[in-house]
Amino acid sequence: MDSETRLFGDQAMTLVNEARRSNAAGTLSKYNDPLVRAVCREMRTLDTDLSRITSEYEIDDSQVPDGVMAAASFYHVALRRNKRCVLAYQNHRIEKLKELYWGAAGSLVHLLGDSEVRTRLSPHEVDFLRTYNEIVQEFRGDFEDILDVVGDVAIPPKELNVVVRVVRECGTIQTELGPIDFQKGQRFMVRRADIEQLITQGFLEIVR
Amino acid sequence: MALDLSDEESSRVRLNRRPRPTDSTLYGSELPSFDTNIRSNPSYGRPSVADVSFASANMVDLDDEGLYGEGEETTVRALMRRWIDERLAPDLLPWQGELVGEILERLQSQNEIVVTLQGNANTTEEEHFAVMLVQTEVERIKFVLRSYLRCRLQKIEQYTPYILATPDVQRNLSELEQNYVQRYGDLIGRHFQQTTLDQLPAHMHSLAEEHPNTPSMITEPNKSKAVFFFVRDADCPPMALPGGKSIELKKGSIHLAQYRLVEDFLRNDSVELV
Repeated sequence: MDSETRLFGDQAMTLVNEARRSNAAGTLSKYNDPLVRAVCREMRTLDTDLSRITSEYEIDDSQVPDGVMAAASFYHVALRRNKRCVLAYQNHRIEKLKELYWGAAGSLVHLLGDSEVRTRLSPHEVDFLRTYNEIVQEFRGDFEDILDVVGDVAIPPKELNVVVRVVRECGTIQTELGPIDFQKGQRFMVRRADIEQLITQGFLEIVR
Repeated sequence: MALDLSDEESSRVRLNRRPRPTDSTLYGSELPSFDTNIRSNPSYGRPSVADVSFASANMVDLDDEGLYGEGEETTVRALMRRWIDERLAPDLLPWQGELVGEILERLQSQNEIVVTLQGNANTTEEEHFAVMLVQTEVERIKFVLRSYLRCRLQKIEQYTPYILATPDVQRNLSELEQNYVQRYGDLIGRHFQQTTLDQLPAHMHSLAEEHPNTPSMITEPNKSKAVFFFVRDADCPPMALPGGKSIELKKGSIHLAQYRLVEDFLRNDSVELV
């Protein structure tokens, strides 16, 4: 992008648009580190310019000409707007990360082990997920043995047992009826509660 | 619910007897009412819930008294009501600690009975069938409870800065949730600081800037949201409307109003959201 023809806030708007597109498509795009940095740099430049303009009139503000006043306000608004745009972008990222986290039934290993997802995250975002996981697990621990807070909340269970098809191999799993070795393509009749996590994580699929 | 195994009869599931409230069989009048209540009150029109099968209610000889209409509210029925309220209210409602504790306790004891019966060689086929029904009910009640907790967590995350700045709202949280909101608040604060704010000019580091003509950076629950509510109390005081008028709230009637008007009625249990 040619920096000469760029307007204030154009880059920040690009971030917001990226977030909007990502929401509409329901996917997480790669963390746009260069753009976030560029917007922050633009803000620092604007701030320097702004202080230079205002510093000349700091002693007695009644003498500030209208033109300077207008320019200063404009810079100030541009700054605030950029800040909101970047924060909106970061917030959107957090929301998406949490969505992925709950979608993976609270399994961080599963989520971060997916290299496709991992490459789209910034190091800060990986840290965020780690700490978030700690917080959620602590909450979950309080209901241990009786209720798994991280389980599915979208579809109420209608039956105790379900027939599942193995979509991806996931090895031997302990169930109420003993260990079952889930091999791709096989079908099993199992206790729903035993394998709920595997369904959310995409290993098994319910056959209806 | 103590289970005395020396007495064969008492550990049996009595399919053909009407359970008395003090009965220590698998079916206290609690669990099956999960279904019947949804059916009996047409205002619970959420399809995903009303859709759950009625198998257990139909196959087991149920004591229907008290399930329809007047009778006292069962624990499960109370949980359903709190759950629906929570899901429909824009703000966090007071935490139902006692209720949740009781439900958890009952889930635990039902589970113990199921395990004992399953491990007992004398358990008849009929009883095994009944155990399966109980397990299904337990799973479904767990679903409601989980959904209730998750719904609250979702609101807590959405309004974290607002909750942290408003002691009145914090009182509606359980201890566990208060800890959660503190830690989550720290987490997002730190994340924003590290990813963005640290790179900005020093005077722009705050996450709660207030400027004229700009929406606040702290998201608050939208209390102007319109909600449908059902009047539970026979002697509910009339609702004062903003224009100075007021409407009478007759028991069993359903109205539509802004949440801020309904809030107090909801708190003292005289209405429920539908």
